[in-house]
Amino acid sequence: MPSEPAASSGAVEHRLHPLSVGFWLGSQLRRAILPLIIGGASANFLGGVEMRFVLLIGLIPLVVGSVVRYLTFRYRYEEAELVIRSGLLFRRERHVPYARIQNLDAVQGVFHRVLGVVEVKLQTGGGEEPEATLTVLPLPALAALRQRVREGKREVAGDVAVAGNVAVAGDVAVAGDVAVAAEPVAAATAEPPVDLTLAGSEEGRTLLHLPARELLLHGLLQNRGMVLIAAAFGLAWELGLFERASEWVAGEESWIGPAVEGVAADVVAAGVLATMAAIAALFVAFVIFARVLSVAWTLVRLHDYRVARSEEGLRATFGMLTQVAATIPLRRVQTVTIHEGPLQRRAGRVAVGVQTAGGGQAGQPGNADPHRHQLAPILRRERLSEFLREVIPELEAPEVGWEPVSPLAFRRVARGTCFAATLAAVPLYFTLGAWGVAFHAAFLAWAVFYARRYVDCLGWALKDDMVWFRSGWLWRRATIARYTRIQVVALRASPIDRWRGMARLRVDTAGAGAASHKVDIPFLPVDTARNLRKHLASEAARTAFRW
Amino acid sequence: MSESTHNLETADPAAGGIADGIRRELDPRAIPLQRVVGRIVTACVSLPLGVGVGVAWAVAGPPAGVVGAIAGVWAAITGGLGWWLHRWAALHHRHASYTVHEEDIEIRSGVVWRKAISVPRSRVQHTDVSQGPLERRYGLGTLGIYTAGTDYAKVALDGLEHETALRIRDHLLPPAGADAV
Repeated sequence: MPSEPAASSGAVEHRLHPLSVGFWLGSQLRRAILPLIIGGASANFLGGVEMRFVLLIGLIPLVVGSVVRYLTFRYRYEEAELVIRSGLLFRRERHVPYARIQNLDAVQGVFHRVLGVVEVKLQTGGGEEPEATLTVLPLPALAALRQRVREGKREVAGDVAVAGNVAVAGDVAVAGDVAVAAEPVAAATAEPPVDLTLAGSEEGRTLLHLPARELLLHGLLQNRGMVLIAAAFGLAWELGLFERASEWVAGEESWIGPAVEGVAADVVAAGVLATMAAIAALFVAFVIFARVLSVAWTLVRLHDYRVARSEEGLRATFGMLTQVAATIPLRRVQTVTIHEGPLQRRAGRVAVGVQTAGGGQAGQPGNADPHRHQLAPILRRERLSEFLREVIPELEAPEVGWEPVSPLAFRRVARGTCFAATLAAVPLYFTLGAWGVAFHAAFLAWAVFYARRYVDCLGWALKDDMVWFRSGWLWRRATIARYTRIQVVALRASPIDRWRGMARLRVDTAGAGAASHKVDIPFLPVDTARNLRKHLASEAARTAFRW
Repeated sequence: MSESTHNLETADPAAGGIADGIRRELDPRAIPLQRVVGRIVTACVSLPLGVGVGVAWAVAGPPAGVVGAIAGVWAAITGGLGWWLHRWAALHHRHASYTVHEEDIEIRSGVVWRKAISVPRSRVQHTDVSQGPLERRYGLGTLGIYTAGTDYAKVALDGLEHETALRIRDHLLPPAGADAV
């Protein structure tokens, strides 16, 4: 052990980067702006108060809060844990053991990059919120933190490391802060590729790299466009752009409104066929527009997508404007899900997602990485087994012989879908009369076909000390859970299940988000389900669960 | 599942070790306790309804027949709910059981929707035994088993004799020195 003062219990406390005030204020503003505007507008409406005035008043606590947060926020590296202190009136001291840190994510937006800072999120096993968000750190401090986490995992090999160097650069108390604050600027400017710093010190083996061509295909296959359009609509609504747009289109002096009306009238006058063609063309144009948006979004968001395997585990780095480096320690992986949509299947591609125990909830807005659930957003089918083996080393081959569910399942599902089809057809009898029969028949045929396909695609398997479950016909998902990751095994039977001699088996694991595919096998013959429950519970009991 | 629920061991679990793989039913005192809870629920539903009916009667004073019908409906709701909850306590008790094995615990419950949950002992993060005021009167306790799972992050077993709950808790506690991290 070196005789650094940082190593002792009176470890040097670090502050965040002074720019934290600005970034924190920015993030708070983004959250508070809508209520503020609404409050201001209503105050304006009710009491004739100037809106600007209300906004200013609302801003003061945010600014004060950001400054106080920066001034009170300290962190220090203890022997085996990271200690974070914050708060003025309500003091809070969090102890995050290095060994419990599940994920360490670093996010760099455009502003972060220009200013040479980074936002860091630490997640431990519990809860959905990041355990600690460090907004914002200078880049060298991130390297130090990474190093610490890595060292900490290796039985706290020593307090040497980068952390020591950065931390102890200044004298104890106040000087330490200055050193940390001052050095990064130099370091950030000296090191041309920010990428390297963000991604960590050692590069590791690249498992997956998505060139622009693959990203283009990914953007085409997944329909992000609609989500973006919906988001744009929401934003436009908030900002009152609609009123301006309607003014622009339909206002007194506008020429667009009448022109559109004129064209529409011409098309309608040209007959039903022309109208239909025009509507179809509009629809196609809209779909193309949505896909183009999707492609553009993917190209920017997932730019230079790379998954590397290193000592730390898996590391995904991506992004053009906002750069993300997400680290997933291998042993934190709870379940792995393989996604396959109809278009992807046509193109011979799959997506692979992993669930980790540390709040890796899919698509949560606060999350550093909404793509955490898709470690490989797009992957050639033939490369799947190779990739899976890297994520789950115990896996021998991803090919598995699927066991079917109960033979009675088809009839049961078909009864349900036929009922739904009949419900859907009833209004058609009223509106179309005799034609309703034809529609009803078509609906029923589809219902039976769908039930057949759906049940055929259900399957489970036990292989290599893992339980496998797949479901879905068009959008197929298969999830793999190792016995060592099983937490609870539950058998459930509804009245219909009992009547048909079936049961449903749920294999609960840590980190399964609300939207993620879970091992939840329906329509099992009750004896099979019972045996499976006993088997899985005893297999799980024999092994120890390691976070 | 249609597992038979008869011939369960009701022997005093304190006699031997608790982890003997014998399927046990809950403490019979859980039934009167559930009935008391049922009566409280019935009162909570019935009293406001009764007050409402009374006020409507006093204010509007509708013709006698309608009042009689409303009062009848009220009496039917009160009586029906009270009777149903009274019976439910016994039904619920009949379908609930637990089995403690050396390596895991199985909990069965549910009258209409049946459940059988296995929690391996190695997956128990922590446990607690709680006792509400009513439970204290009946000498019962609730065992809470916490895992790192998501849907089953907490598995509760209520209607145990307090002593038994403590014994199961002691059994489930991880052996000293086996830190799972």
